[in-house]
Amino acid sequence: MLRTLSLALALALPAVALANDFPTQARVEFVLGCMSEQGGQSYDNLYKCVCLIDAIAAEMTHDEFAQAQVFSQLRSTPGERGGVFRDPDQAATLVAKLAAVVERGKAQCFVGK
Amino acid sequence: MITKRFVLALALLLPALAGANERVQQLINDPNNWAIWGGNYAGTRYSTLNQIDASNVSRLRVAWTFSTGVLRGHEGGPLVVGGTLYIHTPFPNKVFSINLADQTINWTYSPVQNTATIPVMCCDTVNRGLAYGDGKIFLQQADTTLVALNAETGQVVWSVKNGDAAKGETNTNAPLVVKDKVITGISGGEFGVRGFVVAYDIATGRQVWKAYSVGPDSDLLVDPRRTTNLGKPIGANSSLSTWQGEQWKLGGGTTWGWFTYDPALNLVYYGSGNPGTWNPVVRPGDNRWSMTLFARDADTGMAKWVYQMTPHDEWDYDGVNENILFDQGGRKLLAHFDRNGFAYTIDRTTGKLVVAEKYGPVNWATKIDLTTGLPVRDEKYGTTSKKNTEGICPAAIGFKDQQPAAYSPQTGFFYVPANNICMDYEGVEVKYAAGQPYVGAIVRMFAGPGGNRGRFIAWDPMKGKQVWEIKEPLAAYGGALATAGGVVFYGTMEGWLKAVDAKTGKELWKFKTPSGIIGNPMTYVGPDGRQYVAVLSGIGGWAGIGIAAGIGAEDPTAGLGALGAFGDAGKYTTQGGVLTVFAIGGQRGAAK
Repeated sequence: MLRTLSLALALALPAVALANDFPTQARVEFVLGCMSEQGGQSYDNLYKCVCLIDAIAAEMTHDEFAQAQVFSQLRSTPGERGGVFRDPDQAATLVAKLAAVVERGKAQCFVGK
Repeated sequence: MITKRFVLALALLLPALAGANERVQQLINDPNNWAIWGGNYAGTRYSTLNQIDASNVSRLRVAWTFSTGVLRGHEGGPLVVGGTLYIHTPFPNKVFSINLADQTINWTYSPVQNTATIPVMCCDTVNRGLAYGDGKIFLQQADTTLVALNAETGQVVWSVKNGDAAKGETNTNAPLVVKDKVITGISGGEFGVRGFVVAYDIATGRQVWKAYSVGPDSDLLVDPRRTTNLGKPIGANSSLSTWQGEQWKLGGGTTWGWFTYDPALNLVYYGSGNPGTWNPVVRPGDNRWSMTLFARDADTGMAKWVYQMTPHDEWDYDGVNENILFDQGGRKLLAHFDRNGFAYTIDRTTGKLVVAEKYGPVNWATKIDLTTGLPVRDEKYGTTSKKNTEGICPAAIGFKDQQPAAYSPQTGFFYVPANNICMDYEGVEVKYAAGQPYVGAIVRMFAGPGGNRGRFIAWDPMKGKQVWEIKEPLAAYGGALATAGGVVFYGTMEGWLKAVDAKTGKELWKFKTPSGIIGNPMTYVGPDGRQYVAVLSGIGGWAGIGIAAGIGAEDPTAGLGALGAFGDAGKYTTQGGVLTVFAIGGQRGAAK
């Protein structure tokens, strides 16, 4: 019963229900990397990248994000070591979730590639 | 204080400590250094430093960082010898000497290696680090070149080829300096390489002895009457008689793990890897001495004892994990946490089993018979090329892989970074071709019971029981460090370096390093008298926001040899592996 209720809540309030728990360090790290990918440090890129990390943090916990990053990075590692990150169903689910969140965020925040 | 003086006096009285490399032993005895991969010859990864303890570890902050400029996985960790830090990188295996007084680079060694080496490295282009001795830094390059560098200048003193990359022979291991020798192994278990351990003269690089894992007795360096297996002589042709025909020539048993050494017994300890192909059907027999622990005389290479953990392997449970030497209850022992999921406590003088218990939810065997040494198998989880065997625990990477555990004599516990991964496994027919993958199995891996992929556990080696456990969401590929401050450190794939209470496992502190950690934390005292903790991070790849969502789930075996696809290293050089060094800030002395 409780479970159903919390599930319903989670569906009703997908963004608010989450912790928005990214540490300052994680946000700054992301913004620096993002600006670098967008061509360097400028106010233009700063606004876009800050917007994007806020969009991501609104939809995922930091733990989820950190794990999704590992799965994304290591999928192409060859051999059995990569298998650990390539094979599990959860890996595909998390990677897909991150990709979708980033995609939506990019559109909202005018982040081009 | 009296105790400390007494120990110092003893150390001065016995400088040579029964034959270890005298200078190396002296450097190891000074806890301000970290002069060998495991902190000491026993490989305990335990430091007597205690400036950082459970009460103040939460105040650890980043003191400085050093980017290696190289992508890919960063295993191992730095050495610190007398105010200088030496750090290695994955392929192309650079070495940096760093002055700890101001963190400037003294010298850099940048070898030029044939990139054809990369595709024949099975599992990422890792390197597990350096060895120090005789005023030299020893590096075992990926292309199998063992190089001796002048520790002061970085100039090459000598180098020697240890194998042939065209045949799939490569190197990833850290060498070991014992007396006047440098001891090293070989990688290539997925390429039909016949494993060996070899000792070179520390001054010249001349080969002194070489001992194969499989083959005729003369190649093995065994004495059929004196070399024992669980206390009994192994007899003649102990390896040849367990292989069909000439298959031992592709017999595997590679030696890519860590080496430890007991100066009093003059024995070097290491393990051998998987036999030939992963498909068990085509290699009937016990396939000795693959999956085996060896104790060898450091001077002659002659085996004192052997113990095969997984006869006729059907799961790729390499036996290469480290053997950590410790004494308890007046006994000289070693502990080995095998990939097969069993933790072995062994009498390191005789090679007889003392304890062998599961340290995770193993199902391929119910127990280890301490008298015969044999695992009691559950046939349900045996593998063949006839069908896909499902739900085998642990997976091929083991409940623990190469990431070295730590041992604290304060608590008497081992601290073990462990995995919780299981698998489906199907053997497939494979033909041997030199330099081509010789795997012969399709493996699919997934989280074990509970859903978490990693664990960090404290283990009682005499009871064979887990004391406490921390569940980690991702597989644990980084090593452990224990200190006299009652704190244990380990890293995670997400990049957290964590400090936990040695007695309870309670998390005391954590910090997110720039990338995932598969390296081993270490500690030293800097020229300012402060205790530092350092760890390499770098799991390869720079995510940024360019999430690699487009990469589909590939065939894991097809992934073998696909490493050359990583051509973007130049683009993100500043995003390579990073050594992050921590200390407690504020005035020296105010730390406590």
